[in-house]
Amino acid sequence: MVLLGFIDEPKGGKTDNDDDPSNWTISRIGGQPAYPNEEISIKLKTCLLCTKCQAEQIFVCQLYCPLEGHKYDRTIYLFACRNPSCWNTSNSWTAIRCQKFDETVQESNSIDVESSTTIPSSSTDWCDDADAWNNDDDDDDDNNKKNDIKPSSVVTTIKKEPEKMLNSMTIEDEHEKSSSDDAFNEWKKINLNKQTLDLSNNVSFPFYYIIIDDEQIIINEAKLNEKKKLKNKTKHLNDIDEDDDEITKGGKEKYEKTPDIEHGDVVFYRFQQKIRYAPDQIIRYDWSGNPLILTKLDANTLSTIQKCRYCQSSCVFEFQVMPALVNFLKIDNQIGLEFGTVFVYTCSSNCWNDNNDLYRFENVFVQADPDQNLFD
Amino acid sequence: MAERGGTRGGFGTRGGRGGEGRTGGFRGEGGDGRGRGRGDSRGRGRGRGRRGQRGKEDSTKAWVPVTKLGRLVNDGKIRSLEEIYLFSLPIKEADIMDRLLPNLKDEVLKIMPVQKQTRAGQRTRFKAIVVVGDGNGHIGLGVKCSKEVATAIRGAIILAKLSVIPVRRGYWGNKIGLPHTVPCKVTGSCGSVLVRLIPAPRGTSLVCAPVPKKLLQMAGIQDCWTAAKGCTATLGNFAKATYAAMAMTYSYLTPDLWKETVYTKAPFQEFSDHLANTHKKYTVGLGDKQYQ
Repeated sequence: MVLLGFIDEPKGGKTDNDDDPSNWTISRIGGQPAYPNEEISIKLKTCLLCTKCQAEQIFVCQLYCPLEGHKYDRTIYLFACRNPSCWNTSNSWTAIRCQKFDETVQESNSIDVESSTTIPSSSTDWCDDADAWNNDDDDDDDNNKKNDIKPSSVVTTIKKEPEKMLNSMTIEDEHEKSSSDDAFNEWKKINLNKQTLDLSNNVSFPFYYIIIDDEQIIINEAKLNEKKKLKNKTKHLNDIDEDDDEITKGGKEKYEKTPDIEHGDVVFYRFQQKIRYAPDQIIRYDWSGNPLILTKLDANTLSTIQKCRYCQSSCVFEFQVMPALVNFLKIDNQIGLEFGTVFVYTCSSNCWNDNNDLYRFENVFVQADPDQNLFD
Repeated sequence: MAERGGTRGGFGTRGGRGGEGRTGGFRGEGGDGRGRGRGDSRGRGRGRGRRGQRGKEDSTKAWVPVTKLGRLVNDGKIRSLEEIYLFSLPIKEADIMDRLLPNLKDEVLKIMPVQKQTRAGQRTRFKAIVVVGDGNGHIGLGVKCSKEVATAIRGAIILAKLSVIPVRRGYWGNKIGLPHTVPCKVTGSCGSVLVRLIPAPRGTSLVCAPVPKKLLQMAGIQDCWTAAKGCTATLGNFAKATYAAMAMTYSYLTPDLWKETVYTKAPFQEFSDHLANTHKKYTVGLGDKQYQ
């Protein structure tokens, strides 16, 4: 059961209608974090430094996520380093969990930790597993099950008569490539000015609340709407029945299998398919579920963050931050923080010491945008 | 103590405690584990709260880009599709096309039911072939198979938008007016189908079968002779062959491009001049008066 978080504007004006920003049990983005205890903010001020550049990390979001059968109010805070050279690295993000015992919770059952599925060896296998339970198969015929996609190459080199200058020239000429690279570098300098970001402290992202919806309900609703919209378009098309012609005239001519996706990034295409009914989702919450990967992932990468640093028990996936959030993390109308997607793994047993603990660190894994290497 | 979970509720697997004097309690849905919020604005995904703010259905939802390229396009840092082609950036979001080519039209070429034999009878799915084009030098072709017609069409439109390529047009004879035909004889093949596009004089209009005619029209080619070989009854292969032929137009090195690619190094040119000239060359090459 997946919960999705969306951006919600704070209703200005009457504060009694809206949530209190200092309430530590609400989910929101930006502004300053609200802790259950004043001591926490004092202690954390010195701890929240990026491991790479030692700059102060900025507050990204806090999520209120109490668990079934767990007698605690539980909130998770996320911080990240704003330095452009630290974007897209897992070390520059920090996740913190705060809990507070609450007697009033009726404990129904003990926490039932679903055995987290093992990560399959290749990322495309993972995607296939994930689609298995999805009734609406976005898959084509067996085409998509194949793992290697060869991009259709249409460019060919032409051999010309041996003229002096042209002898050394081919379509894929070095000069050509370097010139277009030069043009790209020029364009990058003008448009992607990362260096001019003001890294002063005491800056925060704009404040938004997070509104929460169930994914399955959204999908069902969206499918109904789709059907209604395309009803008119497909009315006359259902009468077409030309496959008789094809079979008789064509003998047994089959379609040639060309790659479905021109850009060749199947993993990202499947990611898009999963979020297509709610593309503006910013948080995807699925406790002890599977993260939705953005780019190809090796099996071993996630094994390092699957161990709690306090109690050595395993960590489970809790939630992930979606790339749509980058559009809202703006400072002075400029993008302040970039990432592809961020997975947060938390201790499966929620280790906590009521007397001593104020907060506990959790594990974070960051995936970069699929084409980040082209823009660097 | 402040309201737990606020008005918007919380994440987490805990079932709603409901009741306790709170209105709109989630006790009924507590089994789903929505957290403990009061959440009357959570509206069960029915469009209150976030969507309700816009006051209308999802039809005109603003695009929220997911990729870096999408964000750049959304911000206006990339103004034309030609820049993306020049920098060889992969386009992974179909909305980028909507933004850069607002005149893009789509047309469904064919919907065919395909069947697969299973133990419990036959499984029928629908294959949709869609072509998109703006009538001014851009064409895309998408094929998608799905259990429902609507899903197949929608998926095919998205795939078609992702596969948009530029089509080069040229002249048959005199270079008067705007380009109207293919620059040279190009050929493309798919399966057994081979499609050959031949430049034609102005006024010839498109001399071809209905399927490539549709594609050529949407690409913005006004006059063309064609020759086709193979089993053209298979519409998918026929359309893909025509698409491949149109893709070749920008791969073909014609004599008028010789001057562009011949890079003469003037030894006394300064570095800055060199950059300025090469940059200019490329924009001139793509947006040349003669060739579009």
